[in-house]
Amino acid sequence: MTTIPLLTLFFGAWSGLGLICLQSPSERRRLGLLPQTGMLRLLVVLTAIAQLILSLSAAIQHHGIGFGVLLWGSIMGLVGLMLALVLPYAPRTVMHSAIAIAAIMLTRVVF
Amino acid sequence: MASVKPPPRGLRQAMDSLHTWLGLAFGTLLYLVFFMGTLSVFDHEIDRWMLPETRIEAPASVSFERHFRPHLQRLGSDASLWNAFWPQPREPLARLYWQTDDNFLDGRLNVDTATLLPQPGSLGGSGFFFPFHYSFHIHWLDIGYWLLAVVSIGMLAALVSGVIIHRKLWGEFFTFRPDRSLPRAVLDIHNLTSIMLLPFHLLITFSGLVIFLSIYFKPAIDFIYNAQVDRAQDELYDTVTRSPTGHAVPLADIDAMVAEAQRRWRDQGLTPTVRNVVIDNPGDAAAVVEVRRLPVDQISYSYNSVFFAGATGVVLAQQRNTLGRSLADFFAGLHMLPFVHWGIRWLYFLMGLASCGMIASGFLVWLEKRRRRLQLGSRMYRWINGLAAASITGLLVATLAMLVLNRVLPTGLPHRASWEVIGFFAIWIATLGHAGWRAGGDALYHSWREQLGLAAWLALGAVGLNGVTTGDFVLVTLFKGHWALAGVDSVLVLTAAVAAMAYRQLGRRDTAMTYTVSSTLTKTASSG
Repeated sequence: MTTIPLLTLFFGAWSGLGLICLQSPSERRRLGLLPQTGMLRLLVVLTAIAQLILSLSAAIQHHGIGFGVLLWGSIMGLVGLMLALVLPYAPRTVMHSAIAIAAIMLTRVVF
Repeated sequence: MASVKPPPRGLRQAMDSLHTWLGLAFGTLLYLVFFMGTLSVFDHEIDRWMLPETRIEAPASVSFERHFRPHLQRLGSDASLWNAFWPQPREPLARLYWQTDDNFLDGRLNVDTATLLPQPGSLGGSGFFFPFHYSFHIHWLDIGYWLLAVVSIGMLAALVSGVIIHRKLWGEFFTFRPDRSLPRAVLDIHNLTSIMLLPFHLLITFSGLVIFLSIYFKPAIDFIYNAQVDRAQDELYDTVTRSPTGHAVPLADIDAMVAEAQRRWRDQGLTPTVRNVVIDNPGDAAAVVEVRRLPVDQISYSYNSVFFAGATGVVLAQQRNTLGRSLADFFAGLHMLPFVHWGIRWLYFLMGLASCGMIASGFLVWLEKRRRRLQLGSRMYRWINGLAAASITGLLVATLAMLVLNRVLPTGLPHRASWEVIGFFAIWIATLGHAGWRAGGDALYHSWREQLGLAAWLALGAVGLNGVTTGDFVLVTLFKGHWALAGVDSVLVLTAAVAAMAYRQLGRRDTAMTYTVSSTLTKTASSG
């Protein structure tokens, strides 16, 4: 397993799930986040979906369709679990890392 | 006065009861299945740990004629079946099986030295933990497999009912509140491990059922095919079978057949890794040689077998799977991981642990609810608490004790493998006795805590004993790159650390809880 696809796979899942987590009403309340406008909400959801698609693409490209989907599915479940367990202890870190990774990954894709 | 009818129970309430009772009824066995299944992800690595003679490198090349045939001809000259398993990187010893009448005999072969090894002094991971996972070691009338089916269906029902009772599936998707009361935090962990890994739980349970379809559908197959059960096998597996003629004809060159099978696989773009060679009626004019492939490069557990006439070496057929068989092979591969992909293997191990966490936290949710209702003295509470502790921490203690026994029992002890198994069950039963004794009263986790403390010491003891008895200390194996041993030892060290942490946490909690419960009981008594 080469490093770059693995990192894309892992961080894509982390960032995508992290951004989705910011849409959860109970998490927003707990993190003390302000209400979102409709447009911003749509943008965050689209960015999260893009992250997850990038993550899945990295998995399929480097491990084939069968192994790629299985690997991605497994990582998604475990990263989601990890994110939820870390969130109460380091909410700001989770939030900022998800946004920062999304920004870096999307910048690399666009440019 | 007209009696008031209680409001009808909604779907959610009905499912809540079903989920609770399914969990209580099947939780113990489910935990056993998941725990042993998680260990089985690395069964061959555990073999390397428990059987020091397997700590060798896999040979570069293997020949049936040079390595297998001399032994099989000597040991199984009158056998009706020979089966030779090639050594693999995860399993560096070759294995031979031969069948005479109803007896199925086996041997292990070091290909490099061409020597047959004596019977192992341990069943190892692949001989004890792995079969425990799917048969509970109950083979009489296939009861173990049927028990597994019942438990699996219970698991599927618990998963579906668990999703239905979850009121805010999306709203609480990432919810973990460690700062709230313990029952709430435990319920959050139960929900998280269930929902985040729901596809894994569904997949692994369903695929487990699919693997044993031929056992579960045996009555139906017998009914439809009546006396022609062989025909059902041929249709399902697309195999080639021939009745023995009684005319003795020596086998042709098996290595040439293996080379031909490998050429065919290569032409189809498949990795030509031989899994095993099965020879039906060896030495007979109608002998059939089946060369099976190990599917190291795909998920589907399909052998892509090539069949040869044993006497001439002529290709008889290449296996073509039916759609039903292909689906079954795919699910079997998803469950059993025949492929070489260490990343996915480790992820399966972690997801298996999370599944164990889900079942254990389910038990804790039930116990915590009863504790809050101050039902500590009830017999039911005591039973469930004792059973849960023995199933979860007791099973861990028994498993680790087995590893310790594996390192301390003398090598030449007669029936050494059986003593290990007896030791495992004796210690497990002892943990049940201990948990029952310590399960009541206000100190909810006394039994759990003490067994976790013992588990921590046993895990460290196993690592130390392995180093002392074989010279393979953790750091040595890490530096030498003996990943199988280093992996098992590292997981044992981590287990010890986690068990010790849990021991400490439960100690604090027991002290706090004893005070709370005692003061509540005092208040209740004084107010009443």
